[in-house]
Amino acid sequence: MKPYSTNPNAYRVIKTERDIDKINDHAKNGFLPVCVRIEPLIKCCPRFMLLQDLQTKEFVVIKDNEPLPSIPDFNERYKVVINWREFYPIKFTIPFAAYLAPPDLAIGEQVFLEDVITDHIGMDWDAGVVQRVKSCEAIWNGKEFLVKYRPDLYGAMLMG
Amino acid sequence: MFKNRKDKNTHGYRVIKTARTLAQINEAVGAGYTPIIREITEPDVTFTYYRVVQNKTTREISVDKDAEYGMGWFDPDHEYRTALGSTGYYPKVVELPFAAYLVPPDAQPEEMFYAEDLIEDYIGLYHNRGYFRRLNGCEAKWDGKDLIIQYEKGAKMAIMMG
Repeated sequence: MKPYSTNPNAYRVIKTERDIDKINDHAKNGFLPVCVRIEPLIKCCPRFMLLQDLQTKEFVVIKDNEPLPSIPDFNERYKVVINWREFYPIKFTIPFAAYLAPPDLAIGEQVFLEDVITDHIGMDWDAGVVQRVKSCEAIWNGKEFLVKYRPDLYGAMLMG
Repeated sequence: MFKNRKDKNTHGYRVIKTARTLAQINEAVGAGYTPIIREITEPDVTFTYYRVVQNKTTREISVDKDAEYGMGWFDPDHEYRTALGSTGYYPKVVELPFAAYLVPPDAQPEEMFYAEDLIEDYIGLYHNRGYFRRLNGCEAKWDGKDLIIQYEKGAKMAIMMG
C-alpha cells in the first residue's frame, strides 16, 4: 500500500534540509539547494484532542495518527478541552525547505525523495484519518524535482 | 512614552507567563497554577512575509523577511536570483495549536495582570503600506474563571507612515 516508501527501485536518495544554515553548508559542499514552499494541505493534517484529567487536573493529548490508548471510564475521568481538530505535524518558522541536488545529477534522472516537502495524500481511512506521503520517487528536470505522486497508489482508502 | 498604553506593562502589574508545550502546562498545574487554554488559529491578516533569494555564484540562500514592503537589501538582477517570490505565511512554531496562560494560585478576581506572550493574534501596528505587526503583550484581567485580554481595537494600534 506504500509503493515508494522504501525506494524499491534503489534510485539515488535526495535529502531534504529544513534549516537555512544547514542548507547553506550543503551549498558550500557543491549541492544545489532547490527551495520548495511548505504549503500545508489541510486534508493531510492529522487531528488531535486535548483532554483534562478531572482528578489530577493534568492535560493529555490524543492524536488520531497514533494508536489510541485504552481509557476506561473515559467520561468520568476526562473533560474534553479541545475537541478533534487538525494540526500540521511539521514545525516551521520559515515556510520552505530545500531538496539537495548533488552536483552530478543528470537531467531526467530518477531519484528518491526521502522527505517530501509538498503535501500529498497517502493513506486515507474512511474514518476520516489521512496520512501524508513522506517519501516518493521523483524526476530531476534540471530546475526542480517532479514528484511522481500517484493518487491511485497513494490515495488508497482503508475501510475500518 | 508608554503612559497608559495597555500593550506595555506601564502599571507594573504581575506578569502572566504563557506555556506553549504540554509538558510546561502540566508542570504549571503541578505547581498550583491555573492554565487558561487558548486554541491557536490563523489570523485574518498576514503578519509575516518572506522571499528567498539565492546567490548565483555560491548557491547559498538568504531570506528577505521584509520582502513584501520593499525593504529588500539585495539586487535581484545581479548577484542574486529569486528562488521563491514574496508571500505571506503564518509560522507554525508549535506542533499542537494551543497554548495556556498560567494564572498564579493567589490571583484575585478582578486583579489586573500583564500577559507578556499573547496567544491570540491582535494587530499591534499597522503600516500604511498595508502590512501589520502582531501585538506581543497586553494587560489582562482575571475574572476568577478566565483571563480577559484588555485589547482595544484601534486604541493602541499605532500607524506607521513611510
